[in-house]
Amino acid sequence: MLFLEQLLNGVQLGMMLFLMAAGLTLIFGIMHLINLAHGSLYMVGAYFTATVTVMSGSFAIGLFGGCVAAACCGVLIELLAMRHLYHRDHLDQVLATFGIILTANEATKMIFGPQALFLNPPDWLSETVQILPDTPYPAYRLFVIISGIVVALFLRHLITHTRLGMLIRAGATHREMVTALGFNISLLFTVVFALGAGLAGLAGGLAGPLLAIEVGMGEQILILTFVVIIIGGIGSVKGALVAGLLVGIVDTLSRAFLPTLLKTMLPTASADALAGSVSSMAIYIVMALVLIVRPEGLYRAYGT
Amino acid sequence: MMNRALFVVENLTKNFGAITASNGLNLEVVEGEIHALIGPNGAGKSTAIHQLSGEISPDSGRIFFRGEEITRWSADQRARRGIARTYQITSLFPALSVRDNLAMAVQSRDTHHFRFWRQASKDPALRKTVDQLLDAHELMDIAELRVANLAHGQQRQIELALGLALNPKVLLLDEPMAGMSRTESLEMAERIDRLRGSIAVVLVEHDMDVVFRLADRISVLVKGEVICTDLPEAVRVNPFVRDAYLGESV
Amino acid sequence: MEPSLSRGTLVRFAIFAVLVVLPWIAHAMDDPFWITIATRMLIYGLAAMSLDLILGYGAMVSFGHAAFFGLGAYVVGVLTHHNFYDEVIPFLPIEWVGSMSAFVQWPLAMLVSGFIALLIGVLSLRTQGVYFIMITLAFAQMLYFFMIGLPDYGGEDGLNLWQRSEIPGLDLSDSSQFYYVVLVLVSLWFLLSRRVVESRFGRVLTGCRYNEPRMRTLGYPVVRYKLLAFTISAMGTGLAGALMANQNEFVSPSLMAWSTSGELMVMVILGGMGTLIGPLVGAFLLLSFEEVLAGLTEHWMVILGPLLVFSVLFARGGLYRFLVGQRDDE
Repeated sequence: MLFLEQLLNGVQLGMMLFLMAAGLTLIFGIMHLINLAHGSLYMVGAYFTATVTVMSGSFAIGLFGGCVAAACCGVLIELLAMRHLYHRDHLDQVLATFGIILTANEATKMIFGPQALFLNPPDWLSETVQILPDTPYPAYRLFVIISGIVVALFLRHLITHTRLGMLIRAGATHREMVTALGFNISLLFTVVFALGAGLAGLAGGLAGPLLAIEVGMGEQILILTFVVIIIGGIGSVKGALVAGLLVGIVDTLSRAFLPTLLKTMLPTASADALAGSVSSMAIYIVMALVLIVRPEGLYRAYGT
Repeated sequence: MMNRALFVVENLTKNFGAITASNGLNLEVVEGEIHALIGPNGAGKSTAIHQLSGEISPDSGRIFFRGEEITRWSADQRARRGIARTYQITSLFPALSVRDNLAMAVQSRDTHHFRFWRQASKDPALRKTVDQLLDAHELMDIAELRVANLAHGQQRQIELALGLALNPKVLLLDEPMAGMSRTESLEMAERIDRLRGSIAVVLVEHDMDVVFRLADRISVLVKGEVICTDLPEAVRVNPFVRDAYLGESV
Repeated sequence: MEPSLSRGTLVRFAIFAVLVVLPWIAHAMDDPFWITIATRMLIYGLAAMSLDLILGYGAMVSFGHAAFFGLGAYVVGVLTHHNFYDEVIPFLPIEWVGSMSAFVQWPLAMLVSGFIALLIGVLSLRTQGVYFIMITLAFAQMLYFFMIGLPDYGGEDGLNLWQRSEIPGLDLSDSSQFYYVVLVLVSLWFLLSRRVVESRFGRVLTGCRYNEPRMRTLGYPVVRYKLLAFTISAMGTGLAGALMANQNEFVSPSLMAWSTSGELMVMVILGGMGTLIGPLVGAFLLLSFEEVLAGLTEHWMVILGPLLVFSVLFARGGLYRFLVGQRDDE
């Protein structure tokens, strides 16, 4: 059941993208801020998870450490730079956060060295699980999928049932009203930013045992996350989940099966030449199609 | 004067979520008249103007302009066909001079060949037309000043001039007197009065003195629906209109 | 405005004069490497100037201009590659083994970049603001992965060209001669762009930058104007890419990397957005910064990054405006 396995891999990538996109889209939706450095927070999460795991001997503690480190970095960035950018145009936001990426990448290289780190899944997740008879699947990847589902449920509860969520929804549409009612909007922004950063850190930490932990990993996933947000619609957590899964599945399946499919349709030589290119383009083609049909994305939230 | 219909609006409906801004709105504007659109706050006057200008597209219903259906036309298409508008909140090019603001509108009257080469500021034809407009609107003295540095009343005047610079068949005025002093309002009313007969004007205005003095006909909008269209003196004594207004404190 | 205008002319003339005599100085100082660096700066300046056409005049924040830079370079790369090995280019309807002539390669680089920009523009101009930034970035990344996935043209490793384009009567492999060719092209592109900016077309772009909804109700088909500007801008960037391929005698997907798009934007902002000549100054500034800082420490980015954040937060007008004594919003 190669297909089922690849499908699950797609869901797993989709969950990672959801964790990234959920935070980023909330920050967009509420603060109208485009934050390129979101990928750097993912990288921070990955590096700290690896380091704390090695130091403590426990992946769970490591993952927690990664989240906290990313959230702290997020708060720091928010206080030092983002705060001054909320009222600037998007161009300024892009450039300043571009500067933060350069700084974060180089600082990471200085602290952790230029070579990539590798992290093994913890013992209790290193086995495979029989999802169907004769279909083993790595337990760790299932763990990532389940983590994504838990976060999705948590975010739904947070946004629809808590005071913070009420403020988040109100802050997106009626910023002046929230301030007029006496709520501290800049504290709200800091909290949302920390939340988004923590989710990015969690994504990075979870990616640790799957990918090489290296400088530049943040930007790879950042651009995929943008594709997710474009498809899902800015400000919509639900859109982030649906589009995250869509992008994850399309990307994984097209990389797995498109080359073989092309070979049945084209002569071998041109199929080989084009296979890599075409399969990596699949998600962008999906994005283009969504843009033609619904330029504002599948789900559009809070009237932003 | 021939009463030829310019605008015919049939059953226009527009919802924003749970809010109904236009609810089967019917309207007819004839050539050369000043047609006021009044109604209590939230009656959907601005939304109606937005749909006439093409900035908001209706959920259902049809709009005809000079006999042609324009419901799905874009705002720029409509502007090129002779539908100009002004905004309640002044919408100009604040960093540019008064002259350059007007030039922006005048340039749009010419067919849209993309001209890349000739320097626009040295274009004699453009300059001449803009000069005439500056004269006509008594703006020559402040022609070279940046719009951002002008007083509110002057900006409102340029707002009107910008709309007229397109040589429109109909001008949609969304609260032209907004934020003006009494004297400025009177001046503005005089300017609008002078347009009577030459082009049609659709006027949304809160100042009832002005409305009843200027309008040839008045349509009363309540909850997204036109409840009556009539001459000012008839509207003044219409019991339904009184109800609608007394129901809400203005 | 008149006095600062003449100061502007003076500054522009000074910049041009320095650029003209630069190879002589380099030779006099017996340090011809300067010419290579200056050529690189000019080429990046050309790309940044083109980006300024839409960024500064049309308020379209394209985060994908590296794609057009790379496309221009790859057009030269592919034509040279096939011409060198005398192989027919596979994906064309006609049998053609490419060409070495600059008069074929460079215009074609512009056309291909422009055509792809037209396609990307049609899609991305359906949106605005943050969406536009992300979409241009995403499409650029798509083209980047497309080139990486093509093993015939070197994939991730890129393509060696072995030789530069050919112009009869000139030897472009001579660094001074190539420098002057680039300088002439940059100057021509500047004059052309300035004409465009001051034309009626340019006025419309300016209008869109200040108040796009108003432009629409004044009767302008705004998207068509923006699309055309986007395409012209991509063509200039494509030309810069073609020159870059010649400069390096090598093309690789890294030319199309997202960070290149970022750098081009930084050049525009550092030099002064909406001034055309500013981005050229910005290119010189950023690249010399990189040279100098790289000489100090291998971790020079850790200095450049905060400097960049700092300059965005506190110094907005750009260096060129400072030089000519112009205010930010003029």
